[in-house]
Amino acid sequence: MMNGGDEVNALVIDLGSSTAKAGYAGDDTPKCYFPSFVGNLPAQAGAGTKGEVKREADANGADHARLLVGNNAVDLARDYMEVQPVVRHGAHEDWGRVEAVLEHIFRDHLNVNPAEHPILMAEPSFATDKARERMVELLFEKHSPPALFLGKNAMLTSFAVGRQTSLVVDAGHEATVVAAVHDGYVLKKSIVQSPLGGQLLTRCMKQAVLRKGVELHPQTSLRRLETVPGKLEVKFLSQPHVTDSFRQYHVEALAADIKETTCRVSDVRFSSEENANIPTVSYELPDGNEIQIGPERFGVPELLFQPSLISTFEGQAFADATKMRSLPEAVLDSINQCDVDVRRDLFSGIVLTGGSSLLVQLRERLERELSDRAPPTAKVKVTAPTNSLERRFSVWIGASILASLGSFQQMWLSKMEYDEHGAAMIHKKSP
Amino acid sequence: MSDVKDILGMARPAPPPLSFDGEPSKATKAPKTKRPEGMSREAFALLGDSAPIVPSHLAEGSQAQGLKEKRKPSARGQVTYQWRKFKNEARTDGLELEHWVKCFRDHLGKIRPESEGEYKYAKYDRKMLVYRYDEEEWEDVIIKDPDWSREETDYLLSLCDLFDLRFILIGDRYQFPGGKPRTTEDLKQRYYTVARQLLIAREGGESGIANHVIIKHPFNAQHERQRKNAMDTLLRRTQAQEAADSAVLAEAGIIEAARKAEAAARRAAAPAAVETAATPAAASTGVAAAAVPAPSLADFNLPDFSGDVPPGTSSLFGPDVTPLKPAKPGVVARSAHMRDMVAVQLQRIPGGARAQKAFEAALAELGLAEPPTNGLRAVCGAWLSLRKEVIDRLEVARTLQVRTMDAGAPLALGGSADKRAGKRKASTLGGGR
Repeated sequence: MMNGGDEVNALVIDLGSSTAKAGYAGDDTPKCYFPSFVGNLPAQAGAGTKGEVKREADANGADHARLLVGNNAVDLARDYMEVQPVVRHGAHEDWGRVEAVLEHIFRDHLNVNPAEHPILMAEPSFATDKARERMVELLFEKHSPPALFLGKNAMLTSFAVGRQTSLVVDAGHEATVVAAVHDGYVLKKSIVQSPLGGQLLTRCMKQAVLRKGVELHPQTSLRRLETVPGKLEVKFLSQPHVTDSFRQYHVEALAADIKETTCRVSDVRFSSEENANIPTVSYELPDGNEIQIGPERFGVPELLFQPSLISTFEGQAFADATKMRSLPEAVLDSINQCDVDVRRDLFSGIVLTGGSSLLVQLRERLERELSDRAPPTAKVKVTAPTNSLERRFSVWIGASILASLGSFQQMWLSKMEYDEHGAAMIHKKSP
Repeated sequence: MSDVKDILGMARPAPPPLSFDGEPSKATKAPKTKRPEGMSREAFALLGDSAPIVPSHLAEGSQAQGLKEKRKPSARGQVTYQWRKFKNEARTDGLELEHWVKCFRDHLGKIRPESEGEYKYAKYDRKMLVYRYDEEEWEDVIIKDPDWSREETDYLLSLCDLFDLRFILIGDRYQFPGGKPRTTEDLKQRYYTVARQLLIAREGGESGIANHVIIKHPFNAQHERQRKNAMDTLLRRTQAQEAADSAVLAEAGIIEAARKAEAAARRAAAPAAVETAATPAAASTGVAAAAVPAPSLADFNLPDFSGDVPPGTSSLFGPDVTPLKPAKPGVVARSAHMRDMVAVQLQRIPGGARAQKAFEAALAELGLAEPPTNGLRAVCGAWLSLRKEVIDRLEVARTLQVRTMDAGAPLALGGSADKRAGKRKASTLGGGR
C-alpha cells in the first residue's frame, strides 16, 4: 500500500440492508456506521419530540415531514414514529430516505462538504442500470462531488481479501448473494440471490422463543427500578402511541441479539427431534427473565443448509418456494453458471463474508458440504477474513483500498464528464 | 605464582603503595584503552584486554549510518509536505484532484516539489491492442458476414476495448439490443476473423506476418466448443458417479487379474502335460491339461529305505543315495553323517552358488528347510533321496528353459508343477518334519 497508494481524501459510503457505513478512503474501518433504518415522524407530531437529528426531507410526496436517521433516531420511543428500512430487496425504493441518510452522514458524522471530496459508493452486484443512473444523478445534482464511482459489492469484497478472482458469498441481512468475480469484474450471469439471510434467521429465532411461551419485551418498553434496595423491579411503560413498526423493529433486534449470542452451526446435519435433550444455554432478557435455548441454538442456523426446515417455524415461509436452495446449492448454481474455464479457480477461491457469516463454524460446515457435492477433480477451499470487523465491513474496506490506490485515480467519473455525457456514462466508467 | 617467581629470582613489579586507608591509589592504574566510537558501552565492557581495538572499515556506509548519526541536510532544502492539485495524464477530461506532495523548501524560501513531470501512476493506464477498422477498411477489407451487422460488430469491438479483451467478461456482459444470443465462442470467432483480415490487409500480404499469433494459430471455434463441453462434463460429475465408476473399475481389475492368473496356471500346466511347444492360445492347453486327471500316489515309484537289508551293506548313505562304507572304521552317528552328505550334495549342484540358492529356496517353499532330527536309516535315506530328486528336478527344468529360450519361445518355468508334485511326495513320506 505504501508504494501503490495515493490518497485524494475520497469518501467511501456503503448503504447496506442492515448497516450504513461511511468514512474516508485509506482508513481501516468506517468512521461511522448506524442501522439502515429511518424514523418517519409525521408532520403533526412536531411539538414534543426531542430528537437530536432533524432533517427536512423534500423528496417525493409530502407524507413525511421529518426523517430521523442514526443510532439515536430509531432507539428512542417517539410517538407516532414509523421505523422504515432504507434498503429493501437490494433496492432503494424511497429515494427520500436515501437522501436523508446521505445528509446525515455528511453533516452530522463526517462533517464534510461533499463538493470537495470524490465519493465512492458501494452498490449491490445485481443493481439495475436505472437504479445506478438514479444514484449518480442524486449525488451529482444534490452534492456535486468532483468525481464519483460506483463499485459492485462482490468486486469490493474481492479486493478487500486481496484476490482478483474469487467467488464471493455475502451472507447479509436481507439475503445471501453469491457472485463470481473474475479478474476484478463481477460476472453478472453468475449472481445468485437467496432469501436465506440474517433477517430470516432472526425471525425464526423469534418464533422459536415465542413458542416457549416467553414474551419478548425490548429494552425500549420497560424500566427497571430499584424499589427495594438491592432488588430491581420491572415497570412496563405505557406507550399507547408507539407504532407497530417501532415495536416490531425492537423485538426483532432483541431476537437478533439472542441469535448472535447463542447460535452455532452444527458440524453435521442437525435434526431438532434427535437432539431435543441437548444441553441448554441461558440468556437473560431485558426484563430480567432468563430463558433456556436448547436445540434452537443449532436448529435456526441449520436453515441455511436445510431450507425445508422453514415449515417447522410457524408463520414463516418463502415467498417463492422454487427459490428454496440451500447455501451450498446456491454456491454450486453460481459456479455452474460461469464459463467452464474459470470454475476451477472459483472452487478454490470461495470467500465468505457478511454479517451472518459470523455464525460460529459456518465456514467449516460450508466447506464440508461443498466438498461433498463438488466434482472430485476440483479442490474446494472456503476462506473468510478472521477479524469480525473485516467480515462485517469487507465491502467498505475493499472500497477504501480501491479509492486510495494510485492507479485507480484514472477511473473516476468526473463532474465534467457527467455534465457532458449524462448519467449513462457511469456504465462505461464503472462497468 | 608469585613464590615461583621468588624461587627463580625473577623481578616482580613493585606492589602498589598503600595509601592511608589501605586502598591502592588510583594514579598507578593501567591506562585504559578508549572505547571506539560507534561501539556500545556494554559491548566494549565484554571485550576485555585481549582483543585489539582496530576500527573495522567494513562497517562503514552500512545501513546503520542513518540511525544514530544525524541525517545530512539535503541539498535541495527542508522537506515539507504540501496539499496540492494534480493532473492525471491518463485522464482525458482534465479532472484535478488534490493530494499530498513531498516538497523541498530551499534557503531562499521557494518551495519545489520533489519530482516534476507526469503523475506517478499515469503509466499504469495500459490499454490492450484491439484491432479496429475505419470506414474504408470496413468497406474494402472486412468480408461481410450476414450474421453480424455493422452495429453489432462495432458494439463488440467497443466492449473489447472496455474490457481489454477479457472474453469471459465480454461474453457475460454482451447485450446487443435486438440481437440474437451469442456464446463466447461466437464473439471470439467474430473478433479474431476481423482482426485477421485487418492485419493481413495492413501488412499487404500474409507472408510478412506469418508468425503473428493470430495468423499462425487461427481461432478454432469448433475445437473450443468441444473442449468446453468436455470440461463441463468433467466438472459436473458428482462424488456418487465417481464412486460408482471406481467400483466398476475395481471389479474389472479383479476379474482381469483372476483371468491372468488362470491363464498363467494353464500355460504352466501345459508343458508338464504333453507338448513343450508353447501355444499362444493358452486356453486350449489349459483345457487339455485340466482334462488330464491328477496323478495319484500309486503311480510313483517310492523308494524303500527300510532297515531290512542284507547283512554287510552299510547303513549309511552317500550323496547319491547308495550305501556307503565309511572311510575310517569306528562309530559314526548316522545323523551327523547325513548332514555331511547333505553338504556334499549341495556342493555338487551344477551351476554354482546361484543354483544352490535356488535349490534352497525351492526347498524352503516346499517346507523342507529343516532336516529330520531322528537318524533312522529309513529317514536318512528318504531325506537324501528327496533332496536328490529336487536337485534333479531343478536341473531338468533349467535345461528345458535354456533349450526353449534358445528356440525363441518363452515358456513359464515348470517349477510350479515341480513344487506341487514334490509337495505331495513330502507330505506322504512324512519325513519332512
